[in-house]
Amino acid sequence: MANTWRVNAEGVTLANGKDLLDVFNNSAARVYRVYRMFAINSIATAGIGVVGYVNVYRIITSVSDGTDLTTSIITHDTANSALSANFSAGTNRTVTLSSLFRRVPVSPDEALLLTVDWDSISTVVAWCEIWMAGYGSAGIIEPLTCRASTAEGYCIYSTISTNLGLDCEIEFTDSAS
Amino acid sequence: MNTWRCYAASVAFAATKHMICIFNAAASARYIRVYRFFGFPTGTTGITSTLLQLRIARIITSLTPGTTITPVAHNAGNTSLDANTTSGTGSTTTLGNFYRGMYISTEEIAITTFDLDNMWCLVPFAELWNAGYGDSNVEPLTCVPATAEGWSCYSTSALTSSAWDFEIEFTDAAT
Repeated sequence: MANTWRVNAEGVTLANGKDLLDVFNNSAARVYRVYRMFAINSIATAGIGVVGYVNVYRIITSVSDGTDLTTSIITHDTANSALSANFSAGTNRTVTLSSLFRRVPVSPDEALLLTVDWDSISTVVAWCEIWMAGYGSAGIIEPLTCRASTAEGYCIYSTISTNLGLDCEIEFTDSAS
Repeated sequence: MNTWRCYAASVAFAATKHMICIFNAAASARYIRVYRFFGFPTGTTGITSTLLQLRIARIITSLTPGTTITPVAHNAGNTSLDANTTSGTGSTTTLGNFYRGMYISTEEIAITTFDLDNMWCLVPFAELWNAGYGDSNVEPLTCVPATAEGWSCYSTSALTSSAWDFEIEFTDAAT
């Protein structure tokens, strides 16, 4: 098993052209592999939702501004070695978008008791997994990879105009090669 | 394994249209293995449609890409694909064997609704093809070297319908 880490951002307000959550390797000599991303509907109060997209992008060059969540990155095993100081996570940062891997239509409206609609079932974890590496093909399909000594990362990026929010998570590993 | 992804955004449906496909021309010495197809609805404008069938099929002989898709590597350090491996949408090719058909609902997606249109927006349901479903003994859909063949997800009809996004996840290997 590789050292595994997780960062989450709760109740991130959506906006058109917004970095909801990102991880970025600022050229550390480590390899970071993104295995899973989640976008979970956590809206419990009435709002006006719209259909839009959360997108999975590679980001490059640098990140700046926004809210740094690096100190909020949590490990799956507290015995893991600390992450490089050149690795960071954040939300609402200024990012440089590179390749688009996926855009997932989402319905960010309030979830309701006793209701089965798109909004409400978007609280079910299995259906909130917007990216999964391999889907069971372990060791065959590459996860989204941040190469060593290269400035690149991955982000969940919103193209939705609404003031409602989602919880976002990125699960990744840290290894020497 | 070097892994790549073809992505086509907002592809309009048409009769016998190759919504997304990948092709390995005979001059390629590489194995291209397709692990997954995905399809996501994108239309939000109200329309009245009917069920439409998507099919997964082998394609043979040749490919004229139509709108060319440039595959993106999961690891930007991967060795480039062979120039004889190409991808496109709206491509011209020859259909081979049929592997799966599935009826989809191509009306608009809307909040506070749960019907077949919206179900396809959830990633597990958007997976049109999965190699092995976790069983590594099952072969993915394979393009072998020196053989002109590929794989397509194509539409059977041109009903009034919203556009969809499509993805192909595949690996590139020497053996």
